[in-house]
Amino acid sequence: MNIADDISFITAHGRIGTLRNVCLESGRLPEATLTFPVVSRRKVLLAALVNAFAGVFMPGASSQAIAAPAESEGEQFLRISRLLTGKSDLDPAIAARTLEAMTARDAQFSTRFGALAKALDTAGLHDITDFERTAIAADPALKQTTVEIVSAWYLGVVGEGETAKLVTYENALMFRPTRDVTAPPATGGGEFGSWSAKPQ
Amino acid sequence: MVSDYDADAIVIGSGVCGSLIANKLARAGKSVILLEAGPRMDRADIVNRYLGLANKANINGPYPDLPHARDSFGKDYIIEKGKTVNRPSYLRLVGGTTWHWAGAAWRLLPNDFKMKTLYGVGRDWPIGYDDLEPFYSQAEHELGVSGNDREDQGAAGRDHPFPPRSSPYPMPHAPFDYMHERIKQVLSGNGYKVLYEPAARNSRIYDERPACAGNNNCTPVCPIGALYSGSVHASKAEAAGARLIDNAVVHRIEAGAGGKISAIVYRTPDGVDHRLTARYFIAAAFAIETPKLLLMSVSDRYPQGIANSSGMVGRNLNCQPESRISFIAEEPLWPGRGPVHPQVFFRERDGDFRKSRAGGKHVINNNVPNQQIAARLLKQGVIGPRLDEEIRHQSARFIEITTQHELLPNPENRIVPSTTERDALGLPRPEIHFSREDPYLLAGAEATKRDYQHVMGLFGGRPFEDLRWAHPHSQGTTIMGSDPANSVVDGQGRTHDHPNLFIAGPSVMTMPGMVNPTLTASALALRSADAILHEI
Repeated sequence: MNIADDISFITAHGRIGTLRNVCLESGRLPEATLTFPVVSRRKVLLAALVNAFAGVFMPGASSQAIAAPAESEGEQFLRISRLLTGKSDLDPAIAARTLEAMTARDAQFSTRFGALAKALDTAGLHDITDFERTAIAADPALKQTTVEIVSAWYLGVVGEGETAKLVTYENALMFRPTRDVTAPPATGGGEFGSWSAKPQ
Repeated sequence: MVSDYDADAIVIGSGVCGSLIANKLARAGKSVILLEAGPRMDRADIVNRYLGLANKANINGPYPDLPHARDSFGKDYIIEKGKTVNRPSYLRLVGGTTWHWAGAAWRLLPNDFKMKTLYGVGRDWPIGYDDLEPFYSQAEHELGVSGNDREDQGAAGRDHPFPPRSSPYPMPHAPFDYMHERIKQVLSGNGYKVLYEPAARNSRIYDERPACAGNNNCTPVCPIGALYSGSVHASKAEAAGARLIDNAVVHRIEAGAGGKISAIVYRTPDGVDHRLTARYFIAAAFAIETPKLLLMSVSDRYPQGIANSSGMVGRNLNCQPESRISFIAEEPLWPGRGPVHPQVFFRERDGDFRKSRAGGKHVINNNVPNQQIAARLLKQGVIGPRLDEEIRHQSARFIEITTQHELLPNPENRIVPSTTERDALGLPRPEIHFSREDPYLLAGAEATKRDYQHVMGLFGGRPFEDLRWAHPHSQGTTIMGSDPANSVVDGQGRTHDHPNLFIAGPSVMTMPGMVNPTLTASALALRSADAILHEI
């Protein structure tokens, strides 16, 4: 066994990770262990700014997409996902995995998703805040498809039980609202005892 | 020197207890073979599997589920025939079940060893606290326990440390996170004793392993090895010369003349049997597999199986029935920062109440709660900005209390090898008969429910999830006692029936007490190793 201090490495997802003081029985690095001990306040602010700008330009981008007949199902899924989650910075790679998993799980998903996308475009919904005021919210089938898509992004998982499939862990949106205080378990290592401070 | 035996000692099971013994014997120069039913896995592989899991709430999830070493939670292995589904959790890989634990490293109290004499319930142990104390100290140093040396862990308000200890904790305790500091403030003034949980989790570099970095993932796997697991002593044993054979499922113990055990037989995943001989044997395969192995080892001379003249092997299947509720507090507390079980609280840990009801150890868990909260909100159809607001609001205020209760040994609670169902190796699957409907426990559970209401009130909580039960810490199935007519092993862990067969692990525990069994089982294992070393 040996202990290495603060190792930076590229994870299987192509990101740079840091492991602090990791104990390695075999002396080799974990290939996909993600440990970002500190999410700096500056990064969080920057992300917020990007979100704000994207929000401003979203409506235009969205109506352009309606006009463009060439939009693929993948592009459409990413656009609708951004609308339904209210997050303009969703990762296209995760979107592709999510769509693939949802389609594999339910042969009817493409049809159901198409119907939802059409209904959203027809309703002219540009901001999820207005969702409850649309007819879609009152339509059980469309509402279910909506929640399924939002659930996949928030939980990072498609489906339930033994056949559930992970599409992302550390980028699941459920962690975002508390990211300034807590990290996804196994990815939030920091200094020993850093947890004793009162969260601000 | 040519020996008539394959080894001085064969240890079956490479969990913390088996590995502690293998290491101690190997370090004394004895030849040791350590057999493990499951495979060898590296921490990095386990962490990778964890990160890729869809259901991260399944604590067995990242661990092997192989045809020859099935997941104890899997549908293809344990058969439940009792009133209550027992669902024991144990792991089959090198290092064993301490790969997924919170590191709780408690000593029993002196009175826990004499419940029959003092309170008229259960059984007395054949040994007392003083017999075990030196081995508790040894175990704390072997595992690397961080703890508080000043507290009365008997939760009786003594002004001195209790129970007595011959050496201080090897490491100081970790500081509480903000939430647990706040809980201590609130509960201490309201009738509870709030204590640091002693934990086999490093608070500094110890034994070539790092200090806890607060990854908040003790279960199912500590990503950095700050938390002890049995793999540490499996490695140490190997370094001291023990031969570790993984994927070796022992399914038969053979006895020779004079009741002495002569050999064991293990089967490899290819279905081939291998026979090994030794002077001493230690079965340390946990409270389900150890009795199953003994009961499977029937012969003309031992029609009830090995070590089973009392008929008690597999019986007295005990555990620490664990209740759980959760609520949303008024104030933000922020669970999910630091280790997952830093603290416990008791109403009482010992006293006359134990004549009539089970006591319990309460813990307010410290897990990042976002998943449960988000999943529930989404089930309710909440989306949009309110989803983010509610996730933040509830995650900051989520309180989950779990309570482990003591349960009295009951011979009707038992594990037997199935007579009809077999696994991929052709070996009988475990069949469990268990009931939680025990008046002593149920009376204790009523007191626990009152505490839950009280604590929820103190935090202005509104219920999140109703009461649920689990049955952790399986034990008692090769029960320790002084009378060979109603127990399986003596106070040293030696089987009454076979002078060279010892049993290690929580299956030997006479009574569970309210605290986690690992340190007690480890101390008993080290004591057994001492006894063996005096003879070989």
